[in-house]
Amino acid sequence: MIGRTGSKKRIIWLLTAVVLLAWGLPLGSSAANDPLSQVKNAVQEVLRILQDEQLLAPDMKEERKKQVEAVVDTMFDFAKMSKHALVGYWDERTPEERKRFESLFARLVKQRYIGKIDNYTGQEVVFKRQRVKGDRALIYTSLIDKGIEIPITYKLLKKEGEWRAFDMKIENVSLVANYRQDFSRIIKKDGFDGLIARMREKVAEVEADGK
Amino acid sequence: MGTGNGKIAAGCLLLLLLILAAVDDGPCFANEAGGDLPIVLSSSGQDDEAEFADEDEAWLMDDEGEMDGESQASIADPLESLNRIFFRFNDRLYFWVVKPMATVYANILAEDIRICIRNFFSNLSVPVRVVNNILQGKMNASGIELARFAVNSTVGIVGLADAAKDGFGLAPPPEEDLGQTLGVYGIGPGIYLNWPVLGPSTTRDTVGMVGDAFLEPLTYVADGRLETAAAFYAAEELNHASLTLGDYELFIKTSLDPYSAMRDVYYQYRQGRVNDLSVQGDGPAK
Repeated sequence: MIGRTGSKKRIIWLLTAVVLLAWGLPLGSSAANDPLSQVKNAVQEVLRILQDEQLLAPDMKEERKKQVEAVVDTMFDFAKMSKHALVGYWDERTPEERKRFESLFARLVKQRYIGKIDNYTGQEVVFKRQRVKGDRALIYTSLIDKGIEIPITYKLLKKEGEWRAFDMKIENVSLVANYRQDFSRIIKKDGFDGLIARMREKVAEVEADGK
Repeated sequence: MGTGNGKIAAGCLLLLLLILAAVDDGPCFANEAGGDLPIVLSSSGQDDEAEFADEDEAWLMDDEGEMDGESQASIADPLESLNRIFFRFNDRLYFWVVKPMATVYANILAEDIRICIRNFFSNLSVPVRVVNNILQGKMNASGIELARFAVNSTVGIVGLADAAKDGFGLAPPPEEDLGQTLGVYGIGPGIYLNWPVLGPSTTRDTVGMVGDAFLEPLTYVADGRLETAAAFYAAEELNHASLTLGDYELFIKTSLDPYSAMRDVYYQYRQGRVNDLSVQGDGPAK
């Protein structure tokens, strides 16, 4: 008896699931307003570029980097990221100062986080789950690198219908929080102009190294 | 006496390499990605709120300004000038000694083999993780650690292969240590300490490190001989460095003040470990 009602329940449940899936599928795959699929598409695109054999040739190195950076630009909101990294100093900045800071910060972040793409050796990405509330979302992922699982969490905000990440936590270390401490220390010592000078120096140094 | 022990250690390493040569295209990697893009979508529960009750979740649930809930927390560093001296020392040690050695070593041994050696060291440290899991009341995780040890020491050939994960679905639980246990018991990190050679730590984590050393089998193999213990440590670190070449360089190059950026990374990372904020072990549904 129990077995029979059990299996009946299961069939009903299964049917419901199928109907829900049929409904949900076309929506889920095309919807740009779903934060998970937006992050997933971007990550997938980066991995596709990294695995593109044509781009592996030494003379394609620059092109490969350019393509990855283009995807990263659609995935992250560097203006928002800058605002969060300069908490306490942002309001008093002129629009020009903000622009200057944003472009330097974006370059620094890209240098740190895509500097390793030349050593890509088949790392996997696992999407754990998403949490959405209103215009905020968290995406929990893991990077499987050489058999070790590295948790990476993306923090996203919805802006004009698009979900964009403004922070990323690797092993609980927040990109924005880490740079915020770094920046505020320099600002306290050398002021905002000192910070910009120091950032310019750093960005140029790494770029010279890469050549 | 000391040289005799060094010979034994060298012999052990040689034996290890011979075993590795025999298994050649090592059993370490069972997770070949195949032709497809290496993306897996986990189907585990979407709404398990309890697990994520941390500052990110607070930010998500908060209706106030988006800047709220961003911690400016940092760790006390009264010994900064001394720490900076040791930081510079470690930095030079890395660029002048560790990196060149690790580069040569990486050219000699294939990555698979170096991963096997990492597994070997990790398998040996199982007492540390089992005891600390128990001390934190994580009976399930300590059981998994023991089961993994049993499988990896036998089927996995003295821990070289992670057979427990690849063959039995026993993924490693988050690594627990005494520093984390003390943190769980409510002891704060204390002050920041940047030890020469050993690197970033805190008073709490240093106490933890010493305590954990008593649970390390290699401590007893070294039997009080400092140079033997140092050799084991160096071997593990060299192997580790060979698997992470480039990471440190990149971080240093893209930080405005590498010393304090590193201090902050260490602090955030350890806070996350104490509070088990990662979703490790919650593997993808296959």
